[in-house]
Amino acid sequence: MPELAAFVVTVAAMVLVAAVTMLAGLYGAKARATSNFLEAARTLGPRWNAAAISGQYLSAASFLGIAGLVLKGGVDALWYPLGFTAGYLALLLFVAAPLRRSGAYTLPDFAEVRLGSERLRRICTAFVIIVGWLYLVPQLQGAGLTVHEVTHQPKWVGAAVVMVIVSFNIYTGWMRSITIVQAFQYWIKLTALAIPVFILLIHYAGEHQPAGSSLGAPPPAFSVGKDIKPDHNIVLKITEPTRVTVDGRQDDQPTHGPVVWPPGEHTVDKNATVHFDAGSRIPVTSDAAADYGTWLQPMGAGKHPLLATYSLIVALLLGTMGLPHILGRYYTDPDGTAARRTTLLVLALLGIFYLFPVVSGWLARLYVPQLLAAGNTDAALLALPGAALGTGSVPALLLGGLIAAGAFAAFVSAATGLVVSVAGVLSTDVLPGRLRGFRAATVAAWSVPLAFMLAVSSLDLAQGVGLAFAVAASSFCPLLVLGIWWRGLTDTGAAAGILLGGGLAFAAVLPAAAGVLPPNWQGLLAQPAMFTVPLAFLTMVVVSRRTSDRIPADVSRILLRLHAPDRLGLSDDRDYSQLPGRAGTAAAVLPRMRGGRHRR
Amino acid sequence: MSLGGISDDATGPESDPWAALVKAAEEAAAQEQAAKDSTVYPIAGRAKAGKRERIVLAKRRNSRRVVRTLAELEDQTSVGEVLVRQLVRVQLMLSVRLMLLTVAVLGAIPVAFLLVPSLGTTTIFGLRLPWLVLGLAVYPFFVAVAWTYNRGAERNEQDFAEMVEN
Repeated sequence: MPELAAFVVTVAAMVLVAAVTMLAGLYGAKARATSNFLEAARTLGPRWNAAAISGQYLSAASFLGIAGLVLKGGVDALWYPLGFTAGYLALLLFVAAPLRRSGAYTLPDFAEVRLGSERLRRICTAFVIIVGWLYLVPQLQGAGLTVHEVTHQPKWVGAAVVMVIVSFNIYTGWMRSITIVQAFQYWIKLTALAIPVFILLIHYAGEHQPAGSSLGAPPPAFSVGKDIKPDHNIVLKITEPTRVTVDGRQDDQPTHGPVVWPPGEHTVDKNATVHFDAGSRIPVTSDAAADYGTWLQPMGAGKHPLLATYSLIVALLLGTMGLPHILGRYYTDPDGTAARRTTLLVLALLGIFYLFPVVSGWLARLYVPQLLAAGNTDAALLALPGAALGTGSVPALLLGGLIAAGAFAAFVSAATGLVVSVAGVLSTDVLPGRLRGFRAATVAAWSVPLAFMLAVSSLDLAQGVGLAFAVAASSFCPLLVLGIWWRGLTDTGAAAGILLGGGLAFAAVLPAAAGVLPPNWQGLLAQPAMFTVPLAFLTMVVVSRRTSDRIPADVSRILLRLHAPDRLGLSDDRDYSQLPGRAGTAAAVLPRMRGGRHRR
Repeated sequence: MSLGGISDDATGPESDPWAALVKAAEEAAAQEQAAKDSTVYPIAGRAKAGKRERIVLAKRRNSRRVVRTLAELEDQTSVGEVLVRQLVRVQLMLSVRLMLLTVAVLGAIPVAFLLVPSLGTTTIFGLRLPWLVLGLAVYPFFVAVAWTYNRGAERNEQDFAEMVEN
C-alpha cells in the first residue's frame, strides 16, 4: 500500500512538473509568435539565458549523483560540484565572448569557421557524438534508478520512459529546449531539492537525530537483519570479523551458507545475496570512506588520492567548454559581452544549487548509511525522506515525490539537450536527408547510450559524467583555446591533437565506462585528463608549427572578429555569409537551424 | 606550459609592442585627418549644401571615420594588425593571470590538507574547515574572479574601441 501511494505521489509530481514546463513553453511560444524566435529569445537577456544554461547543465549527476558521492567519499566528493562550477570560469576566461562572436552554433561549426577544413569538421562531429553519448549514459542510468527506487520496476523502464518523453518533446516541440523552458527547469530543480533539504535539516535539528550518528561512531550497525543484493560486482570493506550468510559467489568461490569474513576486503559477485545479521557493522564499498573520521577529512578514500583529485579537477575545469549541449545555448546571447555576463550569473546560480546536494549527502551519511553496503549510493537522495521521516508517512511521500519529480526534470532537460545536439550533428554531417534524417538521428542518438546503459551500469552517476568531461577536455578544450588565442593553429594540428588527446582519453575511459575494470583499478585510468589534456595541447602546437603553411590566409580577420569589441559591430553573424570562400559552412547551416528544429 | 609561447607568437616579430603601438596610433591619427578632409559630415553638410537638411540628435555608433579605421583593421594593414595583436595579447594576459590565480588557490587546497593534517580537523561554527572551504567558500571566490574578469575585459575592449574611434 505505501508503495502504491509513493507511486501515485511521484507520478503526480512528475506530471505536474511536465505540465508546468509545457505551460511555460506555450507562453514562450506565444511571446515570440510574431517575430523571429531567435531575436525574441535574445530580448530575454542574460538572466534568462543564465538560468537556461544552468537548467540544461544540471543533470542526473548533479541532482542525484553528488549526494551519493558525498555519502560515499565525504569531503573529497566536494571536488565534483566545485569542478562542475569551475568549468564555467574557464569557459568565461578563455572561450565565452570570442565563441559567441564567431557566430558558431556547434563545435564543428567553430572548427570550420576558424580553420575552414571539412575533414576537421568531421572529426569534431565524431567527438561531439562520443561526448554526447558518454554524457547520456548516466542520465538514463539515473532515470532507471529513480523509477526503480520508487516503483521497483526494472531499470530499463525509467530509461525508456525518459527517452520516450525526450523524443516526444523533440518531435512535437512542446518542451523544446527554448530558453524560457530551460530557465524554468533550473528553478524547478532548485526548488525540488531545496525544500526537502530544508525540511530534513529542521527535522534533524529537532530531536530526531538518528541513533549512533555522533562523531567517530559510524559505520553504524544494522538494526535488523538485512539482505544485500548488488547489481554489479562490488568489493566490501569491513573492519571487524563478520558473520554473513551468502547465496552466490563471494571471494571468487560459489557459497551457499554461513561464512565468517575476517576484517579486510571481500568481493561479492553480481546477483549474489549476502545476509547480514542484526547488530553487525554496516560494511562499505572499497572506494568509500570506511569510518566517520576519514569521511570528514580530505584524502580519505581512493588509491591515488592527490593525483586522482588533480586529474579530476583538470577534466571538470576544462571539459565544460567542450560540452555540445551547453555551447549552443550561448548562441542565444546577443553579443560577446552578454555571453560574459551570462556566464558570471551561471557561476552564481550553480554555486547556490550545489549547496543542496552537498548538504543532502551529509544527511544521507546520517540517515541511510546502509546504502554504502549495497553500492547504490546514487539512491541516497531518493531514500532520504523515507529514512528520516518514516517510510510511508505523508511528509516522506510528499518530499520523495518532489525529489523524484525534480530528478526527472533533470534527466529530461539534460537528455533533451544532448539528444538534440547529437542528433543535430548526426543528421547534418553523417546521415543524408533532411527531416527524415533528423528523426532517424534522434533514434540513433539515444538508442546507443540506452543499449550501453542496459549492458553495463557499474559507475556512479557523477563518475560516469566525469568520463564525458575527460574526453571533452582532451579534444575540444585545446581546439577552442588555441583556436581563439593562437593564430598559428592549423587544421592538421587541430585534427592531430583532437585525435591523439581525445582518442587516448576515450580509450582510457571506455573500460571504466563499460564496467570491465575491477573496482580497485578505477583510479587514473578512469580519469586520464591530467595526461591527455597537456598531450592534446602539445600535439596541436607541435603539428601546427610543422604545418605552418596551412595557417588560414584570413586568420587576422577571423581573430579580429573573435576579439573586437561588440560595439564596433564586426562580429555580426551575417558577416560570415559575406566572407569569401565560406559558403556552405556555418553561415549556410545556421539559417536552416534558425528556421527549423534548433529553435530555442 | 605552451601558453607563454603562444602569447609571444601573438605579438609577432615586433620587439617592442609599445613602440609599435605608438606608431600605430600616429598612423591612425594621420588616417583620421585624411578621412576628415575627404568626408562630408551630416552636420557640416547642412552648412555647406544648404538644400537638404539632416538633423542628427545623437552621434551614431558607427561613423564613417570608424568604418574607415575598421576597414583598415580588416584589410590587415600593419596598423590594423598591430592593434589586433595588441588587443588579443592584453585580453589573453588578463585571462591567464586570473586562471593562474584560480588554479593556484584550488591547487593549494589539497596540498595544504596533505601537509597540515590538523587543518582537516579544524572546526568553525561547528563545521569542519575542509567542508566550509570546498563546499561553500569557493563559490563566492569563483564569482569574484568572474566579476573581476568581466570588468577587466570590458575595459580592455573599451580602450581598444576608443583607440579605433578617435
